Amino acid sequence: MAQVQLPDEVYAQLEKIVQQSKEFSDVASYVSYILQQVVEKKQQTSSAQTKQDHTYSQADEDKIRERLKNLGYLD
Amino acid sequence: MIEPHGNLLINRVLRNEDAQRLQERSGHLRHIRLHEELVKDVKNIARGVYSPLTGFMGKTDFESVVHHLKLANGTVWPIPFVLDVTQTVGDDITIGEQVLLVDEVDQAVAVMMVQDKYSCDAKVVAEQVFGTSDNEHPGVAMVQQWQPVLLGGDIELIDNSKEPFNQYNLDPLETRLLFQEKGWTTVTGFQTRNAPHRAHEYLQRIGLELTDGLFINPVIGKKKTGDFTDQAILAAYDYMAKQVYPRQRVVLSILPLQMRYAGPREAILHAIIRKNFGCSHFIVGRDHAGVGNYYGTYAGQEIFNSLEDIGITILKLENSFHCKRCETIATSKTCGHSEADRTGPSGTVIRKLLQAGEVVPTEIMRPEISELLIQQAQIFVD
Repeated sequence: MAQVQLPDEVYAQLEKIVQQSKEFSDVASYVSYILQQVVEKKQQTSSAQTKQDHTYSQADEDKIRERLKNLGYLD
Repeated sequence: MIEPHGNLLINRVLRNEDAQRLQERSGHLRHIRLHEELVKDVKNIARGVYSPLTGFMGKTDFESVVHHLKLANGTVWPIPFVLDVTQTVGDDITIGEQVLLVDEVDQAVAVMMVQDKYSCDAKVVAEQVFGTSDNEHPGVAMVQQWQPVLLGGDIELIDNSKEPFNQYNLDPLETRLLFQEKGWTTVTGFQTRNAPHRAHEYLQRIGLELTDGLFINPVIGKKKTGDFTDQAILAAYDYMAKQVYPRQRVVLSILPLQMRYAGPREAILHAIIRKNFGCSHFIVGRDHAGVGNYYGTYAGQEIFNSLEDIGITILKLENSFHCKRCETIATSKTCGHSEADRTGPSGTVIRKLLQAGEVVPTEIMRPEISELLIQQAQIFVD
């Protein structure tokens, strides 16, 4: 397992949070959890950016409007 | 217009030329066959119905949803959406592999980039999501039948066909544009699995009174014996939308979706879906998405009391009935008469009468709806 160095004061603060929350057994599991969330969020953001490729253009919007008209949803 | 859930309307539908190119190049990919209900999930993900989901859930999202009703990034999400495969397939697949998702007749549906593979304890999932591990519960049975390996990964849709009922099948992009064109800023979403009776009508009218438009969105797909057929539901609602309500204030469109019968959790899912369609309000009545006696009558409403604001207004409406002394449909909030004066819309009674070709009493169901249903080739699922 990889090791990461943290400033002492940050570690001390994290230790306090872990003791108060009682959700995590130690600082390492707490930090690992937080970083996992960050990675997940990052992946979702990059995934979201990919979606911009599929964003609808004016031509696409016109096609949708046409379909809605053909189906009788719009006059 | 209300923002989609997670503030991003997902669109994973490939343009025709890209879909064709991808399909041509996908011959060498591993095929994973999906049953009909999973195909619906794939299409719903790609079309933004399940925004902000971009594919089947990875382990982090899955566990967060099961235990905390949230995706890993904190967005409220109540039901896990997973792709389950056999142990052999799971062992063979590598992370980063692109797979071709095909339907039951081997037609390409979508491609998926496998980003995660994992397993779960079905009993724990059932207890968390459905509040029971009883196999008699259809949602629990579904989870118990999952194959042992779950795959997570983003999908891109190749097959964007909308049959059956193409003419009633609108995407969130389409409904949002439609609501905008109609000048609606507030819209009430109405979920149903039944043909309309007077009590439904009462709820829908409340929505029409409160907001600019009514979005009737029947769930279409696998049903239980004795349920109304999709054709019957659509025929009846088509009549309501065109002949009863002001036409310009109602939109009827289907939601192809497998019911999980997760009661309160499913009520949240249904609200999120309607938010993605562009609804600002969503009606949750009695026994929403429940089955048997697993959930309290108003569990589908109560869960929203302990949930953070999900950005759509929940209209928590009471059980309605016909009161012979009020001479109208009412609820215990608006009628002070006794139980003896009230007639509820009993599904069993309605079914019995319609099956015998008899019109349901007019205080329970519009006679023209009864007649229209009787004329259907098949009213109920065998």
